[in-house]
Amino acid sequence: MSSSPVNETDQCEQHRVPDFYCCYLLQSICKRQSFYIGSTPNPVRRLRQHNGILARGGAYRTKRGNTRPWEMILLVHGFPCKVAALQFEHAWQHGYKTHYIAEDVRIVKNRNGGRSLHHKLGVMKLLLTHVYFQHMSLRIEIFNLETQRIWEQDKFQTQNYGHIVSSIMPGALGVPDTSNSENVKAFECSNLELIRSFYAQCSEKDRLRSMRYEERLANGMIPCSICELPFDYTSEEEVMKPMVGFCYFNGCDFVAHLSCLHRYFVDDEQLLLGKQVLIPIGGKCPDCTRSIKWTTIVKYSTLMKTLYGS
Amino acid sequence: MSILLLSVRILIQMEPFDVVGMDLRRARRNLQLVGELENEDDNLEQRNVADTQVPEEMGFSSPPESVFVSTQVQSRLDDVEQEESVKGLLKRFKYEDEEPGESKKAHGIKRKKPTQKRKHKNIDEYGDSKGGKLLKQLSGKHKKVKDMINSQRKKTSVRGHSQYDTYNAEEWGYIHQKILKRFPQSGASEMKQVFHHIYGEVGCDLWSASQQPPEGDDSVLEPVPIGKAAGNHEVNVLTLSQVMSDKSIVEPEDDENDDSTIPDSTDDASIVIPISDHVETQFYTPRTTPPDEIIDLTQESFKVVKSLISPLKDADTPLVQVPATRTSTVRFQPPCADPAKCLTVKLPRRQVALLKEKLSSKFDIAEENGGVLDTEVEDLDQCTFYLQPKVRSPIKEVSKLATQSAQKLRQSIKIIGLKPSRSKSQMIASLEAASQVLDSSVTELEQRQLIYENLTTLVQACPSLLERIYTFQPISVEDLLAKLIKANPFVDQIDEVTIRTWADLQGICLTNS
Repeated sequence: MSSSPVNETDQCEQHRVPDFYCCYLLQSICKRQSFYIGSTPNPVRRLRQHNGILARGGAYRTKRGNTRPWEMILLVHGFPCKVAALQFEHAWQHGYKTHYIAEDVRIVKNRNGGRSLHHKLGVMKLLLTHVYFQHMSLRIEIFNLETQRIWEQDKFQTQNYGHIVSSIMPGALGVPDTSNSENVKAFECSNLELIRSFYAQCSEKDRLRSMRYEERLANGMIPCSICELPFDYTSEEEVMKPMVGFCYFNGCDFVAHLSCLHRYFVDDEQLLLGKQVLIPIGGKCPDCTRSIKWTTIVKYSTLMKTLYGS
Repeated sequence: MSILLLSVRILIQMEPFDVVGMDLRRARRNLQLVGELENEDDNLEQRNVADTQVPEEMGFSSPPESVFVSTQVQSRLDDVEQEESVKGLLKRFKYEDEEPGESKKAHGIKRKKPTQKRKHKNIDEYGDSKGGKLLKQLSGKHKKVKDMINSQRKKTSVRGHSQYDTYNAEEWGYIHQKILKRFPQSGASEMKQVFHHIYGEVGCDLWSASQQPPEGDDSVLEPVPIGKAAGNHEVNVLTLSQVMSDKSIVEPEDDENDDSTIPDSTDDASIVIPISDHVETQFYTPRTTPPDEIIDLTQESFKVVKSLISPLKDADTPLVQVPATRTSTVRFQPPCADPAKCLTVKLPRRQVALLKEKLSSKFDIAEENGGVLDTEVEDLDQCTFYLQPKVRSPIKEVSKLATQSAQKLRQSIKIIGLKPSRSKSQMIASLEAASQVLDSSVTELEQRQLIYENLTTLVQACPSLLERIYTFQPISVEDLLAKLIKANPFVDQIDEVTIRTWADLQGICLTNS
């Protein structure tokens, strides 16, 4: 466990978990029955594209009719790779046929069905309960109170299928006043500010953490907290710069080989679940015993590796 | 006919000596006996019930010391008797109006074992009620009794006295020859009558059928000029268990002729009494009854079985000596052809169940059913077993697959999650490959789980692949498959859908290209 596994894929570009990737749900401010599902690594930019503020960028579907402007009412984030986000997006858009939802629990039965917000949220909940997406520790952020109400209402009783973490953004909007275009414009701006604020929060969190880790790694040789064999990101040799995992809680300085931490978490989880596991969902930090999510550890580990490890 | 009969008797009797010295007195007695035999039915009707002692009256009886009735049967008979007596006592307290029916019933039961003819009548009359009931009481196996009675009813042939112990085929042939020599004019019909007298008409009523020894080779009887019948069974008494265990009696036989064959119970060699030159000595048997006494069936019981000869034959008639060893025995054949592969185990009976329970999964167990238990087996507690290890061959597994229909195979392949294929041979090949890797004793759904576990183990064994997966680096299906097939060629047999399902379960990010 001490030595870093030989990474055959190092020949190609180093994989990195994106800082941010999300799937989002848009609702037309004027036509409340119109929705759009998409995915993006940058929701602020993307919303502006949808609303035509940014000329560049597609968003063909959101141009049609009188659906503009759009309100981003909800997003799900934490995807460890673009592929997973795209898979989620596609499944969400095609809730009537996706293999991530078993036929007997589908709430949208055909292509033209499921056009209400209840259905959109229901399908998303079903997707989030699938074992594949459960591995990603996704989070839901809601930006509209009405959406929050429907989310809580849980018309299709999908909440029973699993535990889903959701939070409402402080300052979430309510039902828009569409009586005049100024109100609509104001509502659109408010929503964009909300998204911007949220995205900035996430980015700031990432920035602070990566700064912390950079400082740690700049110290030179550090022993792995599990196998006690040292690694050194200041070294010129790549062998000395394996992927490492940090506990991301403030005040905890735990750091170990990612492979060691993986082994540690997998062993715990296998013992708990009684079956073989390749990717742990999370585990308790060996030092501070607080629960840390595997996706988050991997995110910063790949980030450090990409920035300094090769 | 009488003269002919008489002459036969005399002939037989006198054969060792000079036939000219004919004893007229004896001849008369014989005639008298014949007459009485013909009146037997009437006599029986009037006979006192008390006189009808079971074994003696049956005609196959013997002096007490040589009667063999198994203790089981005897105890049952005792029970029946006791029941009768109790019933008789109880009957006194019965109401008047019930008496006729009751008495009739009691009557039927009391005469539980009349002579053969009586028995026959009883069966015809009461069918499965009285005779059947008795047999049921004796044997305890209702179905067998029912079968026996049914098979007997089917027979329409003439019933007679098979209880006689008479001459075997060669002996009869010799007698026949002699008679013809003496009475060249006698016709075939007369000969037949003689034959019937001596042998009695071959019985096929219930009791006589139960007397029959197990069916055997009757080729020895073929030289008999008149009829095929040769009531050559030397053992007139069989235990009930013997009778019951012998299926050949129960099975309806085709009665192609009236003198239905009473098959011999033993192999030919032991039955045939060589006659040729030593006829005189062979035919002589010390007589067992006082010569001057005429046996009165109604008065006395016979004491004949000692020498195993017909009670109805005159005491003066020379008796046929029968080798005492001529008992039917069923030999046990060890279950396997190769005794070297067999393990013979002797065990006390009480441990048998335990043995079977513990070893039946690994061995074929055959019990030696020690043949006919005509005597008290010395070590009843001992029981012999033959153990043969069960053969488990992989060929069997293959053939099991081969015998399944293509549809069934396709279904199995689908459930297990293997690559679908068109031809049956391909399907079998892939299932066989699967059985090499997976535990084929579990269900197909569990085998699918085993496939998942196998794939997971393969990934865990490859650190680079594992790292790629736990860092959520998307991997193309082809890439992943290539790596897994490299690790274990069996993966090639697995359907891509199965791989994808497994990847989803494990959270592996798959891409299409």
